[in-house]
Amino acid sequence: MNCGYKEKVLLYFYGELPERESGAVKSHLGACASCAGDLAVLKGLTARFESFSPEAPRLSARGLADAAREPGFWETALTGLRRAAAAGAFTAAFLLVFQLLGAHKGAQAVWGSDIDSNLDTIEYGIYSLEDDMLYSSSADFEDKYNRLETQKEEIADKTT
Amino acid sequence: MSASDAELVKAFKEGDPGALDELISRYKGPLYAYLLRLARDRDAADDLLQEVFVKVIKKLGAYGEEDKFSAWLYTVAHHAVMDHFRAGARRREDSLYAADGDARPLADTLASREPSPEDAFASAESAGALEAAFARLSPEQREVFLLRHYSELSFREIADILKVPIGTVLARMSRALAKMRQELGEGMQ
Repeated sequence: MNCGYKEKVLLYFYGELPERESGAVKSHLGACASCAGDLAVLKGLTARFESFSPEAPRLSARGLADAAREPGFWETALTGLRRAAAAGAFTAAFLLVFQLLGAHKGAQAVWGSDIDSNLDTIEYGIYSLEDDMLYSSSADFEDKYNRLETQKEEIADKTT
Repeated sequence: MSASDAELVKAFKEGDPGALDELISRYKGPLYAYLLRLARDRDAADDLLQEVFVKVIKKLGAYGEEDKFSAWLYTVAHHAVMDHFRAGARRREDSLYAADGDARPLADTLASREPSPEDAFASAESAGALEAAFARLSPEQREVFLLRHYSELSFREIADILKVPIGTVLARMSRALAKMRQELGEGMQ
């Protein structure tokens, strides 16, 4: 039921109702059980709130001020981006200098030299060895062995 | 005569850490009660209390001397609690008091009570029922009561904090009262 006084009862209880309207609300409270019930609940709640005083944790102004100075998420993210940008710029500058030095010395950079070619040869040799080990079968070995035995026998025949 | 909030803020900005201590001691108690009753979790309330003051310190540059410090403080607190709820932090369905054994089963309380509006909540027993009914309100409904009581701000200032018209604040409180009266029994109708 809305008697039209509900909001006024709230304002009255919390002392926000103009004095000239308080009399009408007081009279209404005597006649309206619903509003009187609201007032009783408000009084009861307020009494509960006033009797509730939990002990708050100790706070140090200095500690809080220090915590306030610590970077937040966005500051941390921006710092990370700045560092990444700086690292990228450094790498680009390093490569540029490296490239310029190579050009100055007439393409004497590592990838254009004998060192690179020899490294390629060694790398290919390793690759071939690995390939042999992977794909050679026992039949291959037997065949090689038999051929060696035949050669040995031929040499023995010639010597006798 | 004690310094005003604005004077303390100004002193802290000028390098006086004691001014901040004074502000904290001035507001810590009611602010903590508001946070604890709203979050209904002591660990969360502890964290929120610290978070609110840290945010306040961080934003002190934006605080104008013409602003009401308590309204500003509770605006920060309101946003911190809403963030806490949004983050889906642990929320207990039973109230702080129910966990402490302060609340009794509603049926028992109603059976033993024949209240008149004047002394409806005079006994500890009915006070427990009232706490239980309050705990069952939505956070939005609880908050208007808590803000009005602990912050001592006007309904208009609370409406500004919640960014709703003042009529919405009053209607929210009125509906919450009706809901509590319904839970507490027909004797309250």
